[in-house]
Amino acid sequence: MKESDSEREMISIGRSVVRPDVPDKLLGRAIYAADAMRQGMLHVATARSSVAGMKNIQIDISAAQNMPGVQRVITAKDIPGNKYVPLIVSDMPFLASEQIRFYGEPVALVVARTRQEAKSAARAVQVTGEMFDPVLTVEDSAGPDSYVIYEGDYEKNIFKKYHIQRGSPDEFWPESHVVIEREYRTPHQEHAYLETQGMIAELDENGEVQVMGSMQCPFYVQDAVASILGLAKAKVTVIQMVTGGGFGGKEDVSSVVAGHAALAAALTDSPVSLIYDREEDFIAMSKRHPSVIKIKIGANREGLLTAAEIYITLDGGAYSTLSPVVLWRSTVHAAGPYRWQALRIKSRVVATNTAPNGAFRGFGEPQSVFALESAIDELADQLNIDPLTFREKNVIASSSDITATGQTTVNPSILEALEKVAEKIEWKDKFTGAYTGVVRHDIEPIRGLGCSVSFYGVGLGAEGKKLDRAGAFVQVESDASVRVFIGNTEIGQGARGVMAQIASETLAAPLEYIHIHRADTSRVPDSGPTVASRTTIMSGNAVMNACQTIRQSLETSAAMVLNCAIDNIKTDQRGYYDAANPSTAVSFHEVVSVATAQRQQMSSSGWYVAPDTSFDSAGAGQGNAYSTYVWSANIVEIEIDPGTLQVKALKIASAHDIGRAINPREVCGQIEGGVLQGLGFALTEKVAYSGLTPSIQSVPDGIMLNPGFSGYICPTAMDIPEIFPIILETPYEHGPYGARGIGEPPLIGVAPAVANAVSNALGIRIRELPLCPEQILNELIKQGRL
Amino acid sequence: MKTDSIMTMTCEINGSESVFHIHPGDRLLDVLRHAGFISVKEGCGDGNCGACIILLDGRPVNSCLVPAARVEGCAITTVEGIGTPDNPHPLQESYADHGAVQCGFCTPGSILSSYALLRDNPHPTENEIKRALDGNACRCTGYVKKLAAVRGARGCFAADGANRRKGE
Repeated sequence: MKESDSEREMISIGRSVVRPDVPDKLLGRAIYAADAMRQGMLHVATARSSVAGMKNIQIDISAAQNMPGVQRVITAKDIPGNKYVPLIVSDMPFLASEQIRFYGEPVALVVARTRQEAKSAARAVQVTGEMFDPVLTVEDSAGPDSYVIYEGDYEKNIFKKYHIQRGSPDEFWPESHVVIEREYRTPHQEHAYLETQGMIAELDENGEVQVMGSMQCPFYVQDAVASILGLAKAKVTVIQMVTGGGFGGKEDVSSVVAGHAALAAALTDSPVSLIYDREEDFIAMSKRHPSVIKIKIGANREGLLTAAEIYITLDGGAYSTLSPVVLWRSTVHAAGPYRWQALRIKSRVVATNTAPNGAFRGFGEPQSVFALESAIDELADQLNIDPLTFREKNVIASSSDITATGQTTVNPSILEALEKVAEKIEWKDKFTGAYTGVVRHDIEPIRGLGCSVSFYGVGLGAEGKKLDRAGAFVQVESDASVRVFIGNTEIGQGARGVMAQIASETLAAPLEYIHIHRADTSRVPDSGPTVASRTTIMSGNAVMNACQTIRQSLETSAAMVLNCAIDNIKTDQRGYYDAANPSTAVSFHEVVSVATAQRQQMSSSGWYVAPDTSFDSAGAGQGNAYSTYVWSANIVEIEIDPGTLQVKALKIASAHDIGRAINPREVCGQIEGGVLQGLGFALTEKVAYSGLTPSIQSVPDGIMLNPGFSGYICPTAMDIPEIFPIILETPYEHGPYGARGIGEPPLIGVAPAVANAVSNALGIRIRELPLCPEQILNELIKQGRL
Repeated sequence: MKTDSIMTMTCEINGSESVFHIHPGDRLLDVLRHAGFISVKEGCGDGNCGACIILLDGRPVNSCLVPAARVEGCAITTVEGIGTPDNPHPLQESYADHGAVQCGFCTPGSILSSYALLRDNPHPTENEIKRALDGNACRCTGYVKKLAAVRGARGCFAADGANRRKGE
């Protein structure tokens, strides 16, 4: 752009327009995976293990083969290509053939005429073998007698380790005025996207495979399908259909679903549909990693932080999948946006016999932020300093302050974020000491306030930088309509709308002229995954890059029409005009007509590579981990019912510096949705396994006991607090129109703010999520306050 | 339990009489989807999420819990029946204008719950709106904009009598 964005009125950027995907969704006309039909389509169901641990398995498919409607039963030996799902380590089999490592692990695929026939036959697949006691906790995983689930580069059952060291914390403990050591725990969290996993696969007469369905990452799916079939990637086309939510849950595991569907299509030479039911989606798909985090932190007499030692253990589940990179994000953010004089962070992710854990909004960070932000409050309490003031004194506040990895950042804005949320919730007037008396059922509800701060590195960062690039293709048709292909997906977050606004702005085209196509691997080169809040920056920059090439054609033609120098061309809502004679403008439509007649280049591919990042993983874990950060602050006001001990959130203010809000209303939608998902993580959501949860059922250990919405409790419309989204806009120099990203930050700081509010209300500290009434009851009993 | 026996069922869908040949155990959800009413979504199959909500004689019900045989002679409304691209229902417009749609999977069910609320209670309180949407699980929006959309559409039935359907 020639003129700076702030100087002129924007055409589409910054406007709360209706997203292009919305009308079809409202009218019930959007086609999701389960809605697609094909001539002669067969249905696939997955036969799964009914136990969590079994060695030397035998799979008997004979009964299933003879069930009504069954066309084919497929096991691992039928796989023509690679038997393992391609990812970082590629240790997860598409179909188990030797061992069962988690309850619900796929062992066979049944292809039948109807979905119901396929499901019935899948239940008839028999698996026998030697059962073993499944490893269900991180403590068991590391134990000397525990079963070996994984042997890799490290000691038994450890998928990955990281280490960050800056200075020597030991030197600071003696001189610290207060030092605390605490342990915090978080449970599994289920994504609970409303649309379950689903794929359609078919082969054409040229031996090419096409897979369509619900997914976040078409290029991961393309890899998986090519891999399982032993096909060249050039013969595999993956198209994303309308997708009913992801939150990380359709990042890597959709590759399993797609691989299975493609295998079934190839072996039966028929189009197939594979749609998960809710129960199998719960038991077999990825979850947020449970964590155990030990923290030792100190501060001096002036209330300034001294040093931190943080030990993180994540439960990776049965296969490594995305665990190494989840652990990295967790580790890099574990010391928070604070000024530490010295720190040591050691982290590991271990194997257990539970469904593999993977990506979930925040990607390892909600766990470490829950631990740290709880500990920061505990330290402030010991120092007798207001926790908000304590944070104000210690957060990264200038461009010379450094993060845990020694990175300086540009315009860190946590203080501004804190100020905004404090103002909104009236912290200074409302924050008072805890109620420390007896909690009788007939007293008034007890209120409390809690705050938290966090920062979030946008994009894949140094440990994922090989994938941090994106492509786009833009073509202006002769009628001035504009088709845009991008490599990232619309999963409900509003990516298509944002891309349309960016294309409209860059081309100076009316927004309604822009058509964003669904993601299709045959039209755009590998653009990496739709994760890490990276789509606005990555695909947005790629779209801008393509549009800028076309814009040169348009400016050339506009200059001819207006009879002025190309350098004088400017644009606004009306179209293209001569800066020396701004009263006359030529519409986008007219300029396109002229440029087309002049045989100008009216299409272009776009490409964007993220700025370089670094991380010294073999050394002290120092480096410029991410190219930019979103700075966030939250304050929550809660009320505890003295009779039921239920925590109810009344108000949450959630502020995020996202650089530039392309569509402010949709940004608020991301904040509100993320806050409520964070509130579920804080208060009600927990996966229960037999062997870990008291259960009257007599079942073997490691069985998921609440695989559905009746047992796994997500917040509903009745549970929502008043949410105040606050958008800060300090432009990011490499962001499209200054934008960063917003998908994940809103979830991250909610749980610790709620825990801090519970502490402020009752003077008790709950160090394990969820903050359910049982936990509060136990703590009050311990203190003799009932 | 599904058997091979087939029965005939007649009902009215979005104002048109329809005849189905069904098995006694068929779920209304499946019968509607097979007949092309794909706005009716399966989110859980056990009556918890509300993605499959339809109006049965004007009342919102989870169609995954209703045997198709039970709706003989009934009137069913799906989202296909309340608005078209050229003539969306004011409630649908309000959802769009308020940014109440993200992934869209819960949207048809939510629209129908909202529709039933506003038809029977043109000016609901905030709590009444929350109660009406309590059965429509949504993992994207945090519900804030959905509640705003319903609030914004209050009175739409009073203003637009044409949207009243016979028997509702």
